[in-house]
Amino acid sequence: MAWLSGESGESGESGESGEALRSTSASTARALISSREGVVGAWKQVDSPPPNYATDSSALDLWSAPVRLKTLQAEMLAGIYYDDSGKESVAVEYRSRHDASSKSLIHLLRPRENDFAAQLDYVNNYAALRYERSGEIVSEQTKILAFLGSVGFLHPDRMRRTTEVLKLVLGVTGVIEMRIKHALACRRPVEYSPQIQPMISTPGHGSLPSGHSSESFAAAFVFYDLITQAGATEPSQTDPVFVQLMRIAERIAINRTVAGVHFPVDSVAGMVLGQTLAEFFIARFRTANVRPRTFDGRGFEGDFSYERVLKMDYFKSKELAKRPEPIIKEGTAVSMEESSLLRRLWDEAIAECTLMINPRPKAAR
Amino acid sequence: MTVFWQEAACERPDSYLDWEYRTRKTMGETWCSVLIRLVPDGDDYLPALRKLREVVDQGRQPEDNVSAATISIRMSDDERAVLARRIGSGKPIDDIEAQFFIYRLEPFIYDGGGYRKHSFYETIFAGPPIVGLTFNDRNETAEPLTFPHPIVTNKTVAIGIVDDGIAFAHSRFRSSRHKSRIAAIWLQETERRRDRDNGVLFGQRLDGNSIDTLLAAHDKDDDIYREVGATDFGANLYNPLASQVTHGTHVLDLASGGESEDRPIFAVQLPSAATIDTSGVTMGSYVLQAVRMIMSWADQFGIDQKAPVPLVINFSYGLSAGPKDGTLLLERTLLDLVHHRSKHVAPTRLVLPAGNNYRARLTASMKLPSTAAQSLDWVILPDDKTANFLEIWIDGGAAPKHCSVEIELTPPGGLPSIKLRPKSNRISALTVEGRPIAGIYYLVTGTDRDARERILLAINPTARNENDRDLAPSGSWGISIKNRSRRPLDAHFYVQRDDTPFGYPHRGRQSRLDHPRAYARETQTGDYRLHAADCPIVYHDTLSSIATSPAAGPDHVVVVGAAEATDGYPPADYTSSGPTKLRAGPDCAAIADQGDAHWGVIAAGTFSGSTAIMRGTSVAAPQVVRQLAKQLVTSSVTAPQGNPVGTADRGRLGEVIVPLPQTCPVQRRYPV
Repeated sequence: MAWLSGESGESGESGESGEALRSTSASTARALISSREGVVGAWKQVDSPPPNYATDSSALDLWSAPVRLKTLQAEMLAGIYYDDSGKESVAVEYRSRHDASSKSLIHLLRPRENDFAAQLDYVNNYAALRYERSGEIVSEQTKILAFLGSVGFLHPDRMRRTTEVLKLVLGVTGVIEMRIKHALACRRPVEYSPQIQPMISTPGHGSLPSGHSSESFAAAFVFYDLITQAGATEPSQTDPVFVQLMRIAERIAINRTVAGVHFPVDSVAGMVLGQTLAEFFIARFRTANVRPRTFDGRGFEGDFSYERVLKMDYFKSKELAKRPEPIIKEGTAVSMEESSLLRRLWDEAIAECTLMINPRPKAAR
Repeated sequence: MTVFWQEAACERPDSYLDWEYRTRKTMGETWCSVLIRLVPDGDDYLPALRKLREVVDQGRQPEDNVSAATISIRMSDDERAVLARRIGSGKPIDDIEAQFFIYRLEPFIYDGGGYRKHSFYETIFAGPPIVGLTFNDRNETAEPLTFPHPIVTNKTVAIGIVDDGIAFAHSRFRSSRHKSRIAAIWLQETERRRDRDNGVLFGQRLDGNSIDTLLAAHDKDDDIYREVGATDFGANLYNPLASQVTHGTHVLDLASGGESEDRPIFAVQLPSAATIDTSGVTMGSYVLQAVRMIMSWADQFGIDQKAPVPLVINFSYGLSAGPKDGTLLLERTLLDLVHHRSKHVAPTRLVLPAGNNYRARLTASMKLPSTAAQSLDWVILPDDKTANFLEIWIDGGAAPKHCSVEIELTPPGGLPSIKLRPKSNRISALTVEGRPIAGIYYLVTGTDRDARERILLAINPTARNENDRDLAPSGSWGISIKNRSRRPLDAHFYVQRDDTPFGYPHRGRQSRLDHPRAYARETQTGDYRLHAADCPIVYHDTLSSIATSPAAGPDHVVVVGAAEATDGYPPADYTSSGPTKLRAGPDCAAIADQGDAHWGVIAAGTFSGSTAIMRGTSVAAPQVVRQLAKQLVTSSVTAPQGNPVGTADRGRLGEVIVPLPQTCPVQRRYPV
């Protein structure tokens, strides 16, 4: 699967792999041919070959940046299964080579037609902000890290490994989210009403979950983990760094509703997916716990707010459930093991972040 | 080219009107609005009331000496109904109730330089001729608007609005799909197509039932405006209700959009002619008529249930020059009407914006010891199609026999300057081929120690304009003031407002003051436009000149400044500042900008379902209207409520900042 070299923002819009940028032109090839002939002289047998490379994770340092990304992406996608036998739902599971059975990551059930139709009012109301947010919206079609990274000093040359971690997170989230979108096959706002008239073209994949939401939140949670791990501070939902990262991701997600290409429920599902995948990626990076989650969109009502998702404060509409039934549920945490390849990258990113972060006072428990 | 200064007698008691008269070219039928006060016979107004009704019914005053075919006096039918009620009630009336608004043909208003005297009324003031509007015929029998059986409960509070561009079909002003909350609207500019509305001299009135009929007949707002003639690209020079964004619609949405039928709306849409002439010379009389119309409607609304409704009026407009001591006639008259209704009929409030002139360089202040002189420049812009006015108010002269100062005015471009001590009832005019292009007027108001002197400078447009006025040169006009009295004097300079109002093609351009010491470095913005300490141009005393009545006393008039919803809720950069003689600053403020990158506030665009962003003290005022209306449901005492303002900012924000009402269902940003 090819994606825009650099960042994956607009999920699924294919581009050339970065290798193409380094391909040799015909004129340079001709020049190399004639130059070699001029200097090569008589062929000499090679008698002392260099040793083969060690085939451990240190080999990663040998490869060019786009190749590293593809390599690590393959590693990160390994073991992920999709169960869409439920027809209007999909479960994402993970099974490492040692596991006898799969562990659940996330289970998503799609909202009903009426639920989506009721959400149209939000899309219409949010259009009031289109003009004002057009700069952000056009930028965010391809650039997400610029916004999240503005919370810290995320310069691509100064923080190379950290940038790689986050680009990896964005890219892998993008792949997984496409498979989920296919399984749920949700219509976009533009398909419900001729009055939506989005301000950018509606992309060619399903509406729920929102790719921008999934990716922004996945990257935000992973970035925050890097920062707290590097600074050896306690993560906290009241930490100003956490709050700003969440608000930025939230605004990127809401901007998609402003643009007319997503419903608020898409962003809610996207955040739940992003948060769960972030825990999964972090586990693959450094062995940690993952809380499996369920998002049941049937009977969803209301607007998207990141705080409500964190508090799991969404409930099905009263016509579906007399007693309040939650839309988002969290299961017991399960430990998942890191991959040595991914661990290497993670450690290098942590070293960078340790340089980036000024010593901060311990966050309040 | 023969250019020289010439002195002449004034032809009008109001200097602005004298300049308008002196510099106009031809004009058709010249109707002017006139505010009159009846003269009682001892204590009894009844004879004068009857006499007024008689001449209005006949259409002429006997002393006019016109033929039976000529109409020389008119009155709107709603005002005629008020007159009839006052005669019929038999109750004694006070001198506010003895005031009426009539229209007279211009020649009959004046005599020499003053108002013509009549036996049964005196003229308080007259407006300039009404320009660009077609006049309706008159009704023999008055046909005032009536409001059969509106549902008035003790929760009903009416909202009045005088503005430009009010989209009366908008869904935000309905209580249900086909039911408008607008009980009545006077479109001062839109003639009715088929049967004219002869109940008003110009324009047409629509009552709630007519609007409901239109709502039932049309799905699109635009079709309604076209049917009514408000939008007509064939006939109208301006079609404000065809633009995306209109001032009146945005303001009315903030004041009362989305409310229930307990908030009926009385609206008057000003004509483009008035809105375009922002000097307020034209504006004043339209506004006064509008407010009188709104009150006469509100007094009639719900009369069957014997419950005169409380009324909050929003007038999002301001002027920048005037005495600024509560005596400006327009301001005084508006306040009298509001106080009177509040005292005798039902609680009434008028909410005004504080003005957006903080940085506009329209105000200067000089302290002149005896024989001292100071100068500054008045910059008149090129491509300015409307006249420019500057008022210089002098205090400390104490009942002077002659003007306390000598003024020297030096035009740009080598035209002759003049140095003089101007005289009352005289104008000194700079003439080109005998036609005036600039003028100096003088008058004294008040008596003895309260005496104030005013010099008015008038300068013609600098670009070819529709009224074909002769052009004055643009550039810096030098003004020098020398104290020729023995007492120290204070001189206040106020440039009159003259910009193009929102949404109109460029016409007027705002002139401003200038001085070499007005270029110190401003630490807040980093630019070089700070007024140094010894520069006469000042930031304070920039409040709208119709919002200067005392803040103490009955809180019937509320002046609102603009705050920005960023850390510390600072004043918006443009929001005008007190103190004026009777006021430290506005009474309160509201949010007019939600951030440096999120300027303005969101409210209704012209068409149902659309939104627009606008900023300014104009959008702060209606938010306070909304809050006061809510308070009037349960109490007759109102006071703006909100977060208290620190002492340093009270001159620009008043006592509290009223929170932003939720007229837009989405959040633009996390609030501070």
